[in-house]
Amino acid sequence: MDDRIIKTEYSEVMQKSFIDYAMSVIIARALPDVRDGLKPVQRRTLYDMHELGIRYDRPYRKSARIVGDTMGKYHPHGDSSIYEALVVMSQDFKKGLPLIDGHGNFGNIEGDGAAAMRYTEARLEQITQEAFLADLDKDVVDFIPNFDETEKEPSVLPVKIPNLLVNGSEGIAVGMATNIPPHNLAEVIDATKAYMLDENITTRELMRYVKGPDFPTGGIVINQDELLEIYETGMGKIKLRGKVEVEKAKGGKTNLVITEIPYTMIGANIGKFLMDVAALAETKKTQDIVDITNQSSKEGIRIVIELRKDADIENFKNLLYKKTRLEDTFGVNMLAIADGRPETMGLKEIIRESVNFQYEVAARKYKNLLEKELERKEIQEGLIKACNVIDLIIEILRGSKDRAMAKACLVEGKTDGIKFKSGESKVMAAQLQFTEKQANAILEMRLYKLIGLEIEALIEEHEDTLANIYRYEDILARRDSMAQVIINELEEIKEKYKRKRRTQITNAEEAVYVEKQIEEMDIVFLMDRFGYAKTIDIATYERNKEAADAENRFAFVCKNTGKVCLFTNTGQLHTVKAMDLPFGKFRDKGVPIDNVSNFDSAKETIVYAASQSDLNLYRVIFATKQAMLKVVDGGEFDVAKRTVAATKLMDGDEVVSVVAFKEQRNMILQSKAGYFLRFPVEEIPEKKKGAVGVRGMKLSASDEIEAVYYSQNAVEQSIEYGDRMLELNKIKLGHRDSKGVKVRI
Amino acid sequence: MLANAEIKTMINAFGCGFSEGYGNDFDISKLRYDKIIIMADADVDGEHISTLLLTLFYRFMPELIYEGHVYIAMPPLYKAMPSKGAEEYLYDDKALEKYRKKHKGPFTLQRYKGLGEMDAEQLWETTLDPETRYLKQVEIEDARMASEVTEMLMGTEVSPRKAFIYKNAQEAELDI
Repeated sequence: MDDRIIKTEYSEVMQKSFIDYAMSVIIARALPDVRDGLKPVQRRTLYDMHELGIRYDRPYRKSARIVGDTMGKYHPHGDSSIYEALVVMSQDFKKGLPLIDGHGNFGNIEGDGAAAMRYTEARLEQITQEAFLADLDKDVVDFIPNFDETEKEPSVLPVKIPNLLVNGSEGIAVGMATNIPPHNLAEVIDATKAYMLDENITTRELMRYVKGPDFPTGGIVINQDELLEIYETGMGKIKLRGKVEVEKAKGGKTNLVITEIPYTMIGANIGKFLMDVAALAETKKTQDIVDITNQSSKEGIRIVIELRKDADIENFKNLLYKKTRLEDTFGVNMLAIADGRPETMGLKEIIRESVNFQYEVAARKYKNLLEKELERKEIQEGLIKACNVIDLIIEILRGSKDRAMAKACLVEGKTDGIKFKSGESKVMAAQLQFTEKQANAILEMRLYKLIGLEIEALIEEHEDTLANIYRYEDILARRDSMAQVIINELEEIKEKYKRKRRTQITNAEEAVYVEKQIEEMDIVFLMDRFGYAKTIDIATYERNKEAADAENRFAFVCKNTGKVCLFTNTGQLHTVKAMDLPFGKFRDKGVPIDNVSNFDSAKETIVYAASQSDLNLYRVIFATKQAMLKVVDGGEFDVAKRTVAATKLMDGDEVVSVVAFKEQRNMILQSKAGYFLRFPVEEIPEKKKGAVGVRGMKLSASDEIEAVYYSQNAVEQSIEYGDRMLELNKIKLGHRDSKGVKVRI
Repeated sequence: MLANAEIKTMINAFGCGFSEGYGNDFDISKLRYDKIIIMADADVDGEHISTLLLTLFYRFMPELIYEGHVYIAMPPLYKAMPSKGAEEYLYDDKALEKYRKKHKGPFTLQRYKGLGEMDAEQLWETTLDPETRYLKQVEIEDARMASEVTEMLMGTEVSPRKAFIYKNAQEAELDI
């Protein structure tokens, strides 16, 4: 073993590796450059398409080719990240200004992804070529070697507009993230022009042009007053709402139609919104919703919420704003790379950086053009001069032995070895003094150039060149001139590509939802022996009293805002909101009580039901099979929970009877073996609901309580027992916890 | 974390258990290997993976590091192939600069973005062969520093991390 081991300290490796990774992600992956508003993957994809010549006026090309080419030449990372970047740059609902023209399934606003890259095709948009990729051949930006130094790529694209603002950006780096909303192209250009005319302009003044973000999804920004601070600091929260329209529907009903969603709802959040609205109805937050349908199509967003006739529409809208993401927050953090550093910038800084970049690009462009024109001028002057003395030049050429000899004569005036027709020619030839480049051009000149019209054309061309030189020198020398050139270009782009603002900017009151106060009234709760429950109004009940009492196991008055308590044989108490029960006609079937409460008819049976508000005034007696008795104050059952234990039971025991009572009574316990015990209920001790009862009757080993009756001393009351009638008051009055008497049948 | 199949496999391979949750049976004497070598791509994402693995070891099997069992492999970053003369592997950007100065003639440069770019033979030659490979041994001399750095870089608080990034931004070797 002969490892070459380098010892390293843990904390140093960690710090070094971490900072390398963090900075690489920050500078070269997740954050856009303030000058062109592009992340490296976007820049490389666009440049690659430019190099491949996939122009807007040429046919589409397979996305896979673009992705593969970009990956192989410039971006040695995953293909999916390149394709995703390409897809997003083509989505008009995501970008204010799509840069790529996609063909095929490029996904949709509801979050469905694009088709695989082997299916889709793409090409550049016209504006991308004109405002993002123009002049790349004029040395306007630095080119850097690619990852394996086999290609060159631009370090930044010569983008002519503040793309960072127009298209926005989002990205998560390490320890920081960026989130910049998109803006309106025309407004941003106007603001840029205003800045160029007065660099001391304030953010407030710039906002006369840029009123706020302009999301491709439209929507409404509702905190206009806070935008100034956001644009000054580059940070803050934009409050955004979807656009809701009210439509009249059949039968006097109203439909709320959401025609624009907040930008933040793009993707899976639309589905979530539908679920949230449905949940509002399910949890009874509102009773106003009849139905919700998503009718969005390629024409646009259209989410229809059908409302009840009497719905309070404003209040309902506020409920949506408050409880769903129809109102959402866009957390702005305008972080971008400037001078190789991540920086949070305000509106003005971003425009300034963009404008400075424009000047830089323009300076390089016109310097380059000027050099070319100066070269052209030199040659044109040479050719014009040559045409004037063409006979002499022909004489020199004919008299020279080789090209070098002729060139030496033209440039340096060396006439040695050249045969001239006359001495005069020789003297003149020595004075020609062409430059090197001119001499080359003359030697390569074609004879047809000597035709009169061609010479005129040459002179015209020379004049153009002189004019261009004058213009370029002026642009380079005077900032005003350069500014005018840039402004003209901006104007051109604006006129060609401007589009109406889609997002409304305003100030809106905070949404306040008032929960609807339901008028409290008495209604009648009905439940039949199959467990179907409903509520009806008192008048209906009175009219059908006889049938109602005969057909239903429970029928009692309760409040429509209150709850019904269900006591079960397992000692549980389930509560049901009267609201959750259908309120309707006497002949309506009702709903199974299982569906609206925790009660489970497969496991338990209902022993007793009562209105919760009434129980407050009563005391409740529990009796079980094992003769355990207790009295509980009714107020203890005034609980908010849907299920609580009403009494504690011994193993194998179950509740036989639960009754609420107010006045003095006697209780009669009847056992299976035929024993009856009558005693005053005052003998039963009062206990808490969680407690177990006390023994009410001495039972023999296999005996158990079968039935419980109550009687009042003054009232005669008989029960059918076996095949005869038994007068309850005739049973001997005893005491609790005795054996009772056997009644023979 | 233990839901991750790779991490489970790794812990099982080490044989020395795990100090928290799951088993709670860390026992360094049961370690099956003397050298645990982290081998990640020679780019910044590889570096990131190394920091994550180191954090895992530091938090849950610290003795591995304290006793010097953890190493980081050093795959080459470039391969220079001159038209004349022998090929040479270069392990970092400084070596490349040196090579450029020293080497006058034209040469082709291959940049290794991932270990996957090397065939088995090359990987053996450059990274695995104990005769010729370079290894970084990770050790902890300053325990308090180790703890502080781990907390700062991997902890839940964002602001110290951000401050660290701003402070050390200039020292980063970027991978663009």
